[in-house]
Amino acid sequence: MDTLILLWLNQHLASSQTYFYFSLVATDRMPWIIMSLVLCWLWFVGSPGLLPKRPGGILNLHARYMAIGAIMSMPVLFIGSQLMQRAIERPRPLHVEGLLTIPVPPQLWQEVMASFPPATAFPSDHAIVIGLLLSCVWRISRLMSMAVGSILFIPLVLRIALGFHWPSDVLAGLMIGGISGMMIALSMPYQLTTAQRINRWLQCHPDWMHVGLFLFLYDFSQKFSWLFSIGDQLLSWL
Amino acid sequence: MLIAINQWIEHTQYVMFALVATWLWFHQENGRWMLRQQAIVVMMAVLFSHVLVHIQSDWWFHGSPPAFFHPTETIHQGWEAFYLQWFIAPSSMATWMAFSVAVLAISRMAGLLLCLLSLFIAWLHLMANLAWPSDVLLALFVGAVTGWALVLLSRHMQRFTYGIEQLSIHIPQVIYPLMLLLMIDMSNDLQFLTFSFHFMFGGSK
Repeated sequence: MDTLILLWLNQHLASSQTYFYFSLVATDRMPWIIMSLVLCWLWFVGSPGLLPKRPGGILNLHARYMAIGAIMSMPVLFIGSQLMQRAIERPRPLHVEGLLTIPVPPQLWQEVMASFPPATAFPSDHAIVIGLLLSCVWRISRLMSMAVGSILFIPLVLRIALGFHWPSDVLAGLMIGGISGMMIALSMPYQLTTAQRINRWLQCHPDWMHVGLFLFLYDFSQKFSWLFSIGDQLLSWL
Repeated sequence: MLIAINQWIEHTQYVMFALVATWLWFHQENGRWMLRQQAIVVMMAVLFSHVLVHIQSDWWFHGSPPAFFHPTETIHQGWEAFYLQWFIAPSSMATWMAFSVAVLAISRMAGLLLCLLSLFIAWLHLMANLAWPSDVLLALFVGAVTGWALVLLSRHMQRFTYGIEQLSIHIPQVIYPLMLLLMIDMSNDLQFLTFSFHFMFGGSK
């Protein structure tokens, strides 16, 4: 079933070289930029204080709690997914010889293949982060969650069609991220004071807090490239 | 070493500009936002000088460079791969200079330090043979004029600043993601804006 879906998607995408190139570009940084914009939305949406402007309206405190929860659980999930990938050692479809139809020059495709470590397909870390974000946004605004989900669904499908992941990797990633988001939402009534404390600190130092937030969102939009390079550097020193 | 420092500056400069603008925008004194207009001026200075870079490189790539631009790449025959990066390098100094002049209007000490930093970057370019001296001088001049013109204009655009501030109060969930998108795009050489522009109005680049 996994292979059937993968091949069907790959054959459709490979029928056009232009779309294949576009997919290579679109699945690289685009989802991360969209996700950082969604996190920014989550940070600022809703009315301040403890009463919404209209019945059933969004409270900024709740939205910020979800945003903080998502931001804090991202590194944990990232590290967890890396460990799972190394433990399970499932090869990526693009590393399976003769499986995919590739309409781009072999030299370019070799570069794409080399950018992925072998046997790290399960679960998809993109899908984990997207699942986490969607479930956090779902708690605040279902309409927004569906809108963002429909946009972010495209790069996930394209990643399968390009052979970066098997459909089951993406499904598992979405489930892991979704469950983590649900846990954050469920813990909200018990941990809301933490959000209030952070909010109070934010009101005292809005300039530095937002500088930090911008830095995080910028690095998030770059797939945590700075964070990883700092981590690598620290590990090499240790 | 000089090239490495220069590359590092070029990769991180827009993030630094954005961080400064963010700090100015959210800085509070006695419960009031005091530096929002300055934040807008700083970002506009960076954006305008950056757009000048694109106009300049557009002229060059369409085969009709202005007479005062020297063909920088002729001294680096082996570096075709980095051609674009080297060519626009002098104008990244324009951005630095515009930014420094905009900051000068807020804090003399910080502005002067940044002006010195701009001159240091200019010196780096000259030492690493990345630009002709006339390119560097022109870039510094264009940057200083852009920054200073915006500082002078800012006295007459309080209504514009007030409008943006009100939007950020009433629909922050729309304004702040848009600002973030602009900053991310600026740090990526305005690729998204350039693509949108050419998508809407045509053009080859």
